[in-house]
Amino acid sequence: MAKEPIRILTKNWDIKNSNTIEAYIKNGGYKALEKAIKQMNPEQVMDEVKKSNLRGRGGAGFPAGVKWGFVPKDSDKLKYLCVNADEGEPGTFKDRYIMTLDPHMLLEGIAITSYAVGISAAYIYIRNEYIESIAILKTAIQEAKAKNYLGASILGSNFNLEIYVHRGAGAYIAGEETGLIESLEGKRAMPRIRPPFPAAVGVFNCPTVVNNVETIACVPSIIEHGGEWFAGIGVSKDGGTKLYAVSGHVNNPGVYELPVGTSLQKILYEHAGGIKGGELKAVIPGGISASVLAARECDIAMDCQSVAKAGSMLGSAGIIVMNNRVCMVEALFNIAEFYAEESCGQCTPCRSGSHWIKNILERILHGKGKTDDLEIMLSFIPGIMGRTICAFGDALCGPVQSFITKFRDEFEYHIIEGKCNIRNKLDIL
Amino acid sequence: MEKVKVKINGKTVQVESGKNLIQAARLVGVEIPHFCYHEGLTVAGNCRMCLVEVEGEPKLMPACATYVREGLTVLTDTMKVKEARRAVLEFLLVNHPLDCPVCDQSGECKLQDYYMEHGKYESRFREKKIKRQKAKRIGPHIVLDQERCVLCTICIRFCREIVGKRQLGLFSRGDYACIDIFDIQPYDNIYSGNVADICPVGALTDGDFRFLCRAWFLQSTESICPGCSRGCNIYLHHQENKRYLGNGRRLFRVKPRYNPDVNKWWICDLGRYGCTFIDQKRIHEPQKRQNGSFIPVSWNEAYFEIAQLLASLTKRDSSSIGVILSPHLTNEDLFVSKEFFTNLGITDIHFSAVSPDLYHDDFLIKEDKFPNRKGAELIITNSGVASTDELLEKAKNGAYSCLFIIGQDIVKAYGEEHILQCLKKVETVIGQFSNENQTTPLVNYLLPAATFAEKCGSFINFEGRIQKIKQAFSPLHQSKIDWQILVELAKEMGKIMPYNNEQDILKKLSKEYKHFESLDYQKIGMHGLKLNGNE
Ligand SMILES: Cc1cc2nc3c(=O)[nH]c(=O)nc-3n(C[C@H](O)[C@H](O)[C@H](O)COP(=O)(O)O)c2cc1C
Ligand code: SF4
Ligand code: SF4
Ligand code: FES
Repeated sequence: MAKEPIRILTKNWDIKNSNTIEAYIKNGGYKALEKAIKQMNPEQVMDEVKKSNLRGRGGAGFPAGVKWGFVPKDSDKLKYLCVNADEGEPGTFKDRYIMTLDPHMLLEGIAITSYAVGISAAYIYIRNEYIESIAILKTAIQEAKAKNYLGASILGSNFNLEIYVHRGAGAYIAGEETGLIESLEGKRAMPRIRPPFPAAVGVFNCPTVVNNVETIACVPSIIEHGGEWFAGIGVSKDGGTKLYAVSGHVNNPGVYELPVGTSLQKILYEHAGGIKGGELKAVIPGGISASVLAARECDIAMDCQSVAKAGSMLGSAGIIVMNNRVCMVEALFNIAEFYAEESCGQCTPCRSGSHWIKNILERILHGKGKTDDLEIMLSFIPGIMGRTICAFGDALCGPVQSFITKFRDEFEYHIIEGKCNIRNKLDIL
Repeated sequence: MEKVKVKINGKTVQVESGKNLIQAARLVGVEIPHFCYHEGLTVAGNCRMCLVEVEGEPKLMPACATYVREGLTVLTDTMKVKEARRAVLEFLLVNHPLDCPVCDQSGECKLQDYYMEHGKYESRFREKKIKRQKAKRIGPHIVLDQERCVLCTICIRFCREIVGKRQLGLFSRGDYACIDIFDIQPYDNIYSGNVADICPVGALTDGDFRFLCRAWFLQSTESICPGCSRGCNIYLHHQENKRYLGNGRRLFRVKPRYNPDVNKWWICDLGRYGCTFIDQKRIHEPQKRQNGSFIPVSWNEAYFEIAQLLASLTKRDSSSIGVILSPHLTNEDLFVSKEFFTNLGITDIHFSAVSPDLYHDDFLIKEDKFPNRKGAELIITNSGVASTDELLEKAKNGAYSCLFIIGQDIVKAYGEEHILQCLKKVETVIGQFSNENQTTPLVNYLLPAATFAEKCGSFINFEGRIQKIKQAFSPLHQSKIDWQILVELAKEMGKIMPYNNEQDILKKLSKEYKHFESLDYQKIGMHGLKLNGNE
């Protein structure tokens, strides 16, 4: 039984001038906000989101409604929302689409979320390079304010909300939620030790909700159609659709909206047009922090639990596809270089471990590997994984462990022969 | 304070709630290794050296950032914990220059100590180390070696949280991260020396101690800073065995000594670097001024002549002698002085607590620059004059033939012109001083006295806390402790003052003065004691 493709986040993308408020309203925009404010109290909104099984789209997959519930209700401090639009995870480029093609969906989501949690100021912490999105968002905020969807006494209620666009400081770690908060406060983006969690003590020492752009953008349709409807789209405990951003060796790279739990095969072959330039060798399913899957492991459903069961993670669902011409040593070096560069430098294991790993891989790439190099790198993992302030340490370990264990022969060839087996073969062909 | 029960390595202990696991473990005699944690600063949790196993937690937990709660069960000595420590040490040493032989921190470095205890692995590092700035003078007192830094950020937090200035920062990212000053703005504040104490490694060291002496040659003596009425608790670090080190100095450095009620972990730079007077410009031997120049005399000669003078003057008229004491003196010195002069029938005894330097702040440094003004106030009572000003005025008017000054540089306090006026009609000035100062050229007899580092005794700080000082080394050259000089002078005059040591004096003092009632050094303890009436 062929189902109609469900379009929640992308429904307006094909419309002309989709980023204007006129186009958005014409397609039913801001109805959900009106419904929330006029027909629901904040608890009911939060309950709907809990029912929807919406999980965070930024990487950790934490249930959004549950997170909102952690914000203390009796606190007399201001509460803040930080929308994580830093989109720094390599292989991830979905939030930018939302912000450029349908900024009002994000703004409506922010307004509803703020209404539910009792927030009156929201920041969109946006990757500094997203110049176009920044301009579009700023215009959209003005438009929405002019129509009283934002600002004071929204739609005649006593709900007030200001949204600020804050340009990021240009570091991957500024996307980590507490790094983001520090950066927003004008400091170096250095993650904070938890507890306290941002929901209790966040930006300016006030309770703060941090959510990814896509997470927030899901909220209007949840309110419009109900949490159960949203939950029914995905899989158990993981509702809705997901933007899968496919890049690398596929014929049609791009962002695809599909129900959570769609099979990876289907995404690659039916939507992304199949493998380009060779045979499928490996896939990184959720941004480079996710462990790599060998081609034989790619028969999985793309939801949080299934990908975790396969030994990786859904992460940001930035799917990076590699064909059999890719040298895995080079690929891992590329990743390791990124981590060595981006570690904020506060935790000993992350700071020195990332750099050491990069150095070893560089040596192997240059034909100067030693036979115990692989064991040395693998032996670092227990000393880094779960031993750092933020998840960066874990993010660094996943690729190292999976690349080396799954493609060990390639690494060994490099070490023993001092050259690349893949290149070697390609040259012969 | 509410207490909770926690179990650490099988031992159950009651801990005040709010304490972290490093503090709790100490109660059962377990020291959890740590770099970035300092009790006086906010928790950073970045070094990851303190990880321990906590029941119910899948991951190892940072002991510095995990707080006690009822029923918590902690293990600090499992394989998993030991492996974690070893991993952290291995990562910390990756870029370390291993220049311990020329590092002043050697011997008191946490990296060294922890490596001995928890490291001891075969080196597996074959990569190039990252080079950074070494031996960079970042301020008047402090030298930075970025290569030795473990990036615990203690120095940054100290600067921000204690000094209230942002003079040190973290620069660059990842393994290139390093501590530095901002641009060319120096690390210059009145508490700057403390970073050398709290930096757990040899990254921030004291420029004044650079290459002077290996730390393990130093002895440590508990004392009190004499710089102001706060009475910060200090250690004097000294050695006399290797006289070829340090150009003959005996005192090599001053370190703060933790006292929760007085100075916590800190001292100011004025006190830290001001104590060098102990080995500088000291008066070597008793001297007497003849025809405008000083000639050395023996103690016996000095005692004989001064005794003669005092005896003949007091026989005629005790009111022809005035005495100026100093709140730099210990309670013991002051008490013996008071008794000595009172026995001679002298009544015009006062102390001068005037100092031209009034620098102070709202942290440690007090405007009152004397360590024992309170003590002087309590002991020097029933004087014939209301103040030193009055006493000096009387001198000016010719009331005294002799002025006996102990420890107070009156020229520095009142100005040369005024003092010269005041002394015009005084025939004999006897001065008992440890160091040459602006007053010493004006005296007729100069008696060399010991400094605070060369004696035992007690001071009372601004809030009425009595604290004790201990003798680090014997008085330099021929100098003697102030009270000892007076006891010997009394003997010369045929009067026995029955004091052989400070205990004898304090015993008598505690009998005669209500505030000192039933005090002894044991009771004063290492952190001092608030005196009666100063609760
Ligand atoms: C190193 C690191 C980088 C991250 N970068 C991003 C990012 O760029 N964008 C994002 O939304 N989340 C990022 N995250 C995840 C955030 O910490 C946080 O979990 C997320 O913003 C929460 O939103 P969500 O619950 O809606 O997913 C990052 C996490 C780590 C550890
Ligand atoms: S794990 Fe790495 S990136 Fe995260 S706080 Fe520690 S050093 Fe910084
Ligand atoms: S200089 Fe010392 S105190 Fe400062 S971060 Fe480095 S090791 Fe820590
Ligand atoms: S002392 Fe706990 S992490 Fe450094």
